[in-house]
Order: sequence, then structure tokens, then C-alpha cells
Amino acid sequence: MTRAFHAAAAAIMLAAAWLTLIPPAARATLHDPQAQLIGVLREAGLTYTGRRDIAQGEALLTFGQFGCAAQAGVIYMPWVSRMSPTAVALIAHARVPPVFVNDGEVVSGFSMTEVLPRWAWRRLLVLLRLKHDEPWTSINLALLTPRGCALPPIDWARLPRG
Amino acid sequence: MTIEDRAGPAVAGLPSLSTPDVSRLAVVGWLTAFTLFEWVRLKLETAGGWTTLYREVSALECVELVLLVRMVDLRARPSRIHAGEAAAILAGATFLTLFVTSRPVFSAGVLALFVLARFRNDPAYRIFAIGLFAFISQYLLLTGPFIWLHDAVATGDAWVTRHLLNLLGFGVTGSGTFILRPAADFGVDVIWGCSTSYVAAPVGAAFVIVVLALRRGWRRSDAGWLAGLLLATFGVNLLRLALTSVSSELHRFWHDGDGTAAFAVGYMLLVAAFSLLATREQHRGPATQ
Repeated sequence: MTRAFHAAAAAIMLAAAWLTLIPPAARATLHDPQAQLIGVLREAGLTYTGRRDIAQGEALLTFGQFGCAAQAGVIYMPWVSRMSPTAVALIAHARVPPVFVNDGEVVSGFSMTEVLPRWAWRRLLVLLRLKHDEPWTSINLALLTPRGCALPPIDWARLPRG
Repeated sequence: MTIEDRAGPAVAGLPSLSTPDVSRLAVVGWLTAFTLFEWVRLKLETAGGWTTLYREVSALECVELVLLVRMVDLRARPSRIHAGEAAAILAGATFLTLFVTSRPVFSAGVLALFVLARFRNDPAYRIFAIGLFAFISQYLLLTGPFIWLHDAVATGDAWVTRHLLNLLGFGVTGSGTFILRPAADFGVDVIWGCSTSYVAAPVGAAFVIVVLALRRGWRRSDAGWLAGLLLATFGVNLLRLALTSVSSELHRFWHDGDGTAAFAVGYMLLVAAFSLLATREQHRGPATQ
């Protein structure tokens, strides 16, 4: 049985090494994810006003809205598995509960139980070549709503579709 | 071939090789290998490739990992795990390694808990689990609520550095985390990443791992040596802060340039010196395991 265990574990390790060295082909996209995000929000009526880097590829994108003095902010997080302290603090101190978006789907939060099963399922589909590997698979968004303003409806599902 | 296979069924106390069991060493060994793989993969992601991997991996981390692997003593009393349990463990490891990737701290935590829960009666495995906890604690201490601790310590560091520089005649001012030197038209903000506590986390973890690996146990006097090491770390970090606060040229060298390597080596030497001093006393009495 020990030999069988060695064989199975070695096979898993080889598969993991192979996937690390030769990741599944990424789908060619016309725009980078942040440009896609800006485009989707523009169609919803929000005007891009600026971008500020946070850490490790995370960024805060700000948007203006006609008739609203305050700006909306979108925290762009390219890692499902981790979040910088700055992003955590921005979300924790938001005056209005943020809207959490994971791979074009509105979720109730970025907790392990919320995001991880979805992400693992998508990774399985990618591994089985049933889904293209595209950046939105591992991108989280947190939309910080400006106080006193109602945001227009946003078609988040358009993000992964490009 | 595992140690049990080499020893054969003639060794007293070993179950027969025909039983559907798996070597404990094989299970823990492979789980450790999976965790190390996760760690390398995360570093690769952050570095952006093999050619730049060296920027993300510190020599101290490599030494700690080698010592952790050594802690799983091949001479330890052999034991076996039921095949069903081993299969479930392997399924969990597969899920983490293939799908929920790049979570080495989580994987290491689960592995340490598993070893502690199942094999705590074996000193070698118990020490390994504690060492693994020390290894992941250095990352956990740099995140989440500990950032506020580092912010608070950074305020204290800046206060001490301002007094030190004024004593040396550099004429600095500022409040909170700011160290301003008007004569050089220069100032720095000591943020959490420059605080003593931020540096102390990896230094302290390295000390615990080295002592556990060298002595296979922990003694009360080690806590004293650890306290001394943390005090020395504060001194070295104070020197670093002072050097980086004097002028923009010195800041470029000691904070952004080659000077950072000198301090990295300095911290390694500190860990080595204090670990050797602590373990030198090993003949005076048995270690607590």
C-alpha cells in the first residue's frame, strides 16, 4: 500500500509541476481586465476618473456619476487567495456595504466559503479543458458605493464574456 | 522504499506488510513535499518566473525549510496509517495542490495540525509540527490585525530614532512615524514594513526553527536567548532606520540599494549566533520536548 501511495502522490506532484510549467492556454482578449471593467461601468453610466495602485497588482479605480458629488470606487484584486491589508481596511471602513463581485457574479463576500468553491470549480473546468483560462477566473472586485447616491444597474456578467 | 520496508516484518512491533496500511513517513513526507511545492509556486507567481525567483526567496527561508525537512527523523519509531485515511489525506492534498493552489501557509497549517493530532506521542513528529507552526507564524504575523501592532511599534521606532539622531548631532524633527531632517531637505515615514516587530517575526521564527532542529527540543533558557535576539534585532533595525533617515543618498543605498543585502546578512548572522549560543548549553540538561 505504501508503494501505491508513493505512486499516486508522485503522479499528483508531476501533474502539478506540469500545470505550473505549462499552464492551460489563456484566451486571447482584446482588452486587459481593467480596461474591460472601465468599459462595462461606462456603459452603465459611470465615468472613469482615476486609478491608484494598492499592492501586489491590486488597485483602486474611481468613477464619477452624473448628479452625484461623491465618487464610486472599485477595488480590483487579481488574487482570489489573498488580499492586502489596505484592501481589507478599505472594505472594512466603507460607509455603505460594498458590492462584491467574483468572476462576473455578485457574491455576499470574499470569505473562503463564498469564493473558494466557485474558484475551485472554475479551475477544475479549466483543467478539464471545458473552460478557457481567462483573467477573470481569479479576479475579485469590491464596489464601494458613494454615500447618498444610488448606482445604476451594472451588468457584471459581461466582464468574463469580454 | 520506506524505512519499514527496509526493516522488514521481522522488526518487533511492526505490523505485517500485507496489512492494507501506508507508512506514516510516506504520508507526512509527501504532504511536506506538496507544501514545499505550493511555497515555491507562490514565490514563482510573485517573482514572475524562474529567472527572477531569487528576488522572492530569502536564504533564511531556505535554511528553515531544510531544517524542517530534517526534523522528520528517519530513525523515528515507524508506524502506519490505515489505507482509507491515507487515501482521504491524499485526496485533500490533491485538491489543495491542483485546484486551490498557492496557499502554502494554509497547507502547512493543516499539515502541522494533522501531525500534532495524530503523532504527537512521537517527539520527532511533535517537534516537526511545532517547527512548522513557527515557520508559518512568521507570515501570519505580517498580516491582518498585526499590521496595527507594527504601526504602533513603528511609532516607537521613529521616536527612538529621532532621539538617537539628535544625540549624534544630525538635528531631526517630526512627530508620529515621521523623521524629518530640514538641513538635508529630507524626511522619511517609518511605516509598518520598517518596524522592529515586522523584522522580528522572521528572525524569531528562524531562531525557533534552528534551535528545534539542532536540539530536538526547547528549554526555558531558550526563551531568554530569544528575548536577547529580539533586543539585538531592535538595535540593528535602529541602526538601519538611522542610516536611512540621514539623507536621500544614504536612503537610496541602505533602503533601496545594496545596503539592504548587508542588513539581510546581518540578521542571518544574528540568528546563527544566538542559536549557537542557545544550543551550546545542551549538555547541561535534557531538553523539554
